[in-house]
Amino acid sequence: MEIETIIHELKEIGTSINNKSNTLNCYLFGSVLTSNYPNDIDVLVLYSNLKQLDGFKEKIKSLKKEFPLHLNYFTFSEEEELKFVKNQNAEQIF
Amino acid sequence: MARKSPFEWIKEKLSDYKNIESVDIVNENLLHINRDNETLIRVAKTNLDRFFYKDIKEFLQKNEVDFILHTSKEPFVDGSAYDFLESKRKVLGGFGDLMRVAAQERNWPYYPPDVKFIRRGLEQHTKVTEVRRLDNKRYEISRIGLETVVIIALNDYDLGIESIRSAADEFDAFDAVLKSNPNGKITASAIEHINSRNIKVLRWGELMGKLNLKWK
Repeated sequence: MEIETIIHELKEIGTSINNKSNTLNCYLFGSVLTSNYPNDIDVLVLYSNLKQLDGFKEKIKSLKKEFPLHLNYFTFSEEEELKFVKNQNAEQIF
Repeated sequence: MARKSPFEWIKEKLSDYKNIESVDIVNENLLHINRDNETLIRVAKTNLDRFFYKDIKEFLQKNEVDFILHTSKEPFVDGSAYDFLESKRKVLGGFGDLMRVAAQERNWPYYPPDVKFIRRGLEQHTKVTEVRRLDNKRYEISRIGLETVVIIALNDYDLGIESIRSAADEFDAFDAVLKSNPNGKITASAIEHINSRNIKVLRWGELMGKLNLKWK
């Protein structure tokens, strides 16, 4: 699978929506980081602003049609509660 | 950069499967997977992200296949589509579903593990008379002498507020959220949001208990 392509596209989306402050963060985790043939691509998105999250969802629609992305959305306060990034060894994309 | 097609990806992945004899990409929309027991899975793909009865009917009229591969990760599938698929003994699923069907001895029946677990568990409940799949996430549960309830099953490992919000936006009404993944947590803000909507969030054991009682 072209993981580099996915990372590149996610970074492009990040650049287009995080133009002033990084209030939306994106990570990869799960088998996409450990297996050559993962069934899907787990993506974690941390957000604080719903409007910005809607913008991200709109922009990722075309990528979702090409790749089996499994998107997980949490607010930053939920992330503090879950420690998701640490527990899943997630890698930050933007 | 040229992107690998879903069929090329599947072919690579299935090369590790001991029960697969060969995988042939017949054309850009047809894949043949031959098992070593001489059974064949004919697969066609679609990027539709909403499926109703008529979509499946039209697709199967144009494509003589056993498995319809949706390339969209989690499309909406109406109950009418499932009923039609069942009547035709065909499967609609994603990449993981195709891998599991390939690992089976036969193409049909096949149900995703979480669906199989939920249906079987509900159908074995002493108060339940009928379970109807309304769409890819909701189940209508009829009970003896008690109200019929609709649950929505969310299989997230950790269940957050956005999953609840999205489910409420995308699907019709439901009486409870079932956290069908037995692991992980439900965040405090997700619980707060659910309570504000006057619905319940239940884990599997809690749902089994609640089905014995009057709902409201």
